[in-house]
Amino acid sequence: MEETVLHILCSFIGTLGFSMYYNVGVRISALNAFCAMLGYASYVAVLELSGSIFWSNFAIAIFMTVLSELAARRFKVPTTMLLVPMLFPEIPGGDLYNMVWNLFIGETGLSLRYAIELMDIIAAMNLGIVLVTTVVKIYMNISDRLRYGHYEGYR
Amino acid sequence: MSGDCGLLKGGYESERIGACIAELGEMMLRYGGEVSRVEDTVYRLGIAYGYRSVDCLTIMNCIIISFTREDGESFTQMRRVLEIKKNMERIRACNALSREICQEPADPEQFRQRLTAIEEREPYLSWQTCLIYMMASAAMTMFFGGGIADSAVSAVAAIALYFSGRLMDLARIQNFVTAYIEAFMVGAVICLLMALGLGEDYGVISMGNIMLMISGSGLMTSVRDMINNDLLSGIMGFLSAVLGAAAIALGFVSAALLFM
Repeated sequence: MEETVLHILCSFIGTLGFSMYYNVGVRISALNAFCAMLGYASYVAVLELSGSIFWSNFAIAIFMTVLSELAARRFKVPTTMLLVPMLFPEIPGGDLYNMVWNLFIGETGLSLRYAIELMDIIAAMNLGIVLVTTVVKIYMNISDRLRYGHYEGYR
Repeated sequence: MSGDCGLLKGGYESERIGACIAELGEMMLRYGGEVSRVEDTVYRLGIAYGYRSVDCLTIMNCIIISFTREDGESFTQMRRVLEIKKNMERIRACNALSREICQEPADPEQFRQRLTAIEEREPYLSWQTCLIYMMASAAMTMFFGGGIADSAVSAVAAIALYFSGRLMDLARIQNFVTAYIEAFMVGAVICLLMALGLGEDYGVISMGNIMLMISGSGLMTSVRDMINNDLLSGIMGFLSAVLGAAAIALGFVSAALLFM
């Protein structure tokens, strides 16, 4: 339990730093860090309940994309500025390192296991993002057509 | 071009405005904006200035825009982006500028001044950036299960990451090679500190730094590009992010194999 709390706290500080690393201002970085912390806590809970890395990453990707889309409209900033840092703790950096490390020391089986886990996480996160982004796009198209009679954007 | 045929509805010279719009698009692309966002911004600005139509084709490192005025005359602007350097604050500023200009079009001089101001915008000073690197990598090392000593080594290695990044900016070489060299240099510093008896687990210390270096934004931007039917940009971005990540991991692993 203590370890989980420490990890959640680290996800806040880590995301705050990562967000600022991408030159996001302090106010938005703090928001990103708070949402990422919330997301990581939810990830731990979903993982505990489902026991599946795929479904927990999928659920968190949906949650974070919805949050970032809402915050982007509220603060009038690009969604990417929020979504990328918010999903930072779930980026599979550890799996990537372990995959390459095991490949180099001749543990091919273990390396393959990490590679599969890596693909699993990337696929789950991307699916979650695609799902929410598509729904938002459909909503924007319909709302523009109802309001102006045509789509206001380029495509 | 003579008479009024080169002028837009507010009396602005159409080619100068077109150049400013292209410059803004180029900046957005250079600082890591999604292709669809760049095209949409360029289109909205063009329409706000009174062009009859604006056609824009953007891929990961190139932008081509064709503007057609009310009198039917067209001209094209093309910009090549040689280096992509992620800077979310500048993308946000470009976005805000385009919103303002769509509401109230500015003359080319003002437009260009605002673009220059965005280029000069740095939200953090050098020492602050270095501290940010240290904070993020130390926290992520602890996140991956490292102890206080591991986090301290990770923070020192982050200083090496900051300076190797600066060095590589000067060298201006291929992205993958840059990523590999940076990772190798940081890995070598970690090995050195561990040889001095500091830190315990090379893996978790490296992971803390790897998290900062991996292009999570590249991966996500490319997926969003693919969703928006920009398959070419999406595939290029995805491959670039994956190859970059592999180069980073390879850099850390090869430093460990060589020095430990």
